[in-house]
Amino acid sequence: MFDWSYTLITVMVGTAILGAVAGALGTFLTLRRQALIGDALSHAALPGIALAYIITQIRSLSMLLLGAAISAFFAMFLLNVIKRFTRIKFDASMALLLSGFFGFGQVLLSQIQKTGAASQAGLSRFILGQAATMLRADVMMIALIAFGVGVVIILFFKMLKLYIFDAAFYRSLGLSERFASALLSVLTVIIVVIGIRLVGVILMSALIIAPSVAARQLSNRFSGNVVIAMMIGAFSGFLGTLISASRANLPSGPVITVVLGMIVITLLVFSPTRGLMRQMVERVRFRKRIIKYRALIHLYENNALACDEDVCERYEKHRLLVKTEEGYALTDKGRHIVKTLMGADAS
Amino acid sequence: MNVEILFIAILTSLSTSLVGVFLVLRRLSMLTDAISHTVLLGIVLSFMITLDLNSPLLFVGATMSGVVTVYLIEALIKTKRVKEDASIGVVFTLLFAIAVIIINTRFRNVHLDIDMVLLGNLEFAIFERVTFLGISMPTSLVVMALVLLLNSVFIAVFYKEIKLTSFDAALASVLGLMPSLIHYAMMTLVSLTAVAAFNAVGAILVIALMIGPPITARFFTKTLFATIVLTLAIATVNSILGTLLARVFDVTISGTIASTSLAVFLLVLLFAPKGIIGALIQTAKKRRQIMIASLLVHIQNHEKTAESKDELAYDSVHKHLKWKRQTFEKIYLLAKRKKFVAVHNDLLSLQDEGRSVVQTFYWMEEA
Repeated sequence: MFDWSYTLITVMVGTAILGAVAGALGTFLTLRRQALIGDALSHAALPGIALAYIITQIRSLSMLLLGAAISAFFAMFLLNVIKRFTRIKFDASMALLLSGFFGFGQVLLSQIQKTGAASQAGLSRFILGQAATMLRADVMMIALIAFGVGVVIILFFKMLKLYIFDAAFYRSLGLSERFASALLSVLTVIIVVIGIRLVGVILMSALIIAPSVAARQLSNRFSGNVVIAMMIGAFSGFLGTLISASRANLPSGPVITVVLGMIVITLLVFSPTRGLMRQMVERVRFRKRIIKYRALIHLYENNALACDEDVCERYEKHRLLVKTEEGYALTDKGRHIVKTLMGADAS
Repeated sequence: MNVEILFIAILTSLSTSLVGVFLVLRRLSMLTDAISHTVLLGIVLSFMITLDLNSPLLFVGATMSGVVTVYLIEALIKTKRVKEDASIGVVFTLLFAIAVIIINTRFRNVHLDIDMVLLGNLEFAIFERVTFLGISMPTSLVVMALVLLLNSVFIAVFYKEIKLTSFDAALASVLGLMPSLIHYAMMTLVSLTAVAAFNAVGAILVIALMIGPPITARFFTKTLFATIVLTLAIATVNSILGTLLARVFDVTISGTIASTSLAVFLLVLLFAPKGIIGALIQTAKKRRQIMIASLLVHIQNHEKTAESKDELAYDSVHKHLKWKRQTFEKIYLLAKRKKFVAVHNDLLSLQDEGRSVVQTFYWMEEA
């Protein structure tokens, strides 16, 4: 069922590298609450791609990527201008730019189609991505660029981390905020643009957001998050491409997205540290303990000396109470239990 | 040109921008992006049941899937494990991807085209027709008119409630207005509108129609009612202009309307009184005023002192203020024109006007 060709392996490795780097970058973006910027920028790349085609009249990937990058940068520039000069909400300007740019791209495409040069298939590939049909040289180029972005992230890792977590301290060190923000933007545009061909416009945002969301469920450390996000991104890219190549008509972008989605859902529910399952189990356990030690809490809170005889005897047997001349008194162990129960994070 | 297409465009713009006003107000703009994509899954799933592309059930299914999307995103946020924007990104991409996979594997030969859903096709919207009130009309026209009516009636009837929920959800809750009920009713309308607009403009371009006119209108208006009125006016202009331009250049109409919405916004952003150029002019004016004030204060500080020959000499004062010579000359001319300062024997001195202005600064300092 699989054609284990050299090309397929190249594409799988290429997508895996892209997934890893997008995952790492996504960790920064989700922490800055700019997760959706990838979505906006990838849509905004369409007019650039169409223009590159109109100008050069050839379907060279590097030309199309260049066009895409220029138009995505322009959108990014407009976003920043709007943010600086107006009080329009960031999400509103993002939504309008996303849709307006995409619309303009479509206008250009319809112009191209009129001259009969390009087919509609090009567009749907742009929207959904089709990694399996890519040329090996193109994949190599994309993988190399992604790798370069990864290296830049590693080089500036400490700086970006500081910028995201403590901007005030970052500034006090004399570092430029504008530089960090511009660096993140440039890297995002590059990753989005090269990702479009592999996974498509709409699902590029999944490749940026989902790995970091999944990683967050497993680690509380930033570097841990980045590493796990990279692994999840790479794994999904790898597996998604493989599944997509196993059947005809299975575009790679959606398959990778579904793989990522499954990982996110699984981790949300079953994560050993933050999972919803664990939260539920803990809640039930806590409720049971409260019922079990209700009388003990009563004794502690009210400095009471007696409770139902059988209950008190049971507590005494567990060495939570001792019998004195005046009545029952809490032992250190009993006091400890009440304190943990009352102060416990009973979320 | 075809009048029916123009009317469909106008009605679509009106009904989408009307709900858009509230989306922008409540910072839910990117939720539209999510809804407009996930309705595809609703259409696909409903189609699996009905196997009929013209069934009204598709409409219901698509609308419901929009509401379900909002619910899922909010449920994810409530787990406190995922932030708002990331929740939107995770949910809509997953649902959209599932829809695409189903289409690609099961409905290859059905006319359920992804491009069609995402991009729409206003040119073809007039070919599907119904007979309404005894006249043959495009289905889209009737549907959009009904949706516009529904949106208008809902907003008119619950205007007070929606307004309060949007501006102060806590107060609305205390007053027993059930903000979450209003919220979901609104989201149902947004979904319904997005679905209805699909035929004409598709999932991605409907966002520009929803968000463009309201954020353009906000440059000029202060009250909600004025914003709504201006939004509808801008939406009408955008759709007419877009349709005309598309006609002239013979390109896709829906794409042109979306581009026009963006272009009109960018023009307003640049040229509106509260826009970029206005802001830059304001800043320059403020800077000039402060520089004149600095000059006046400088003179006041140094007049009749021992060093005044140097500090106030026309040829050297710019060095003390740390300005360029040209800058100083420009500011001096401005101040002279206002009769604030004059030059006697090559020394700057305050005129009566200037002195009283400086006095107000000191008064401000004391206050």
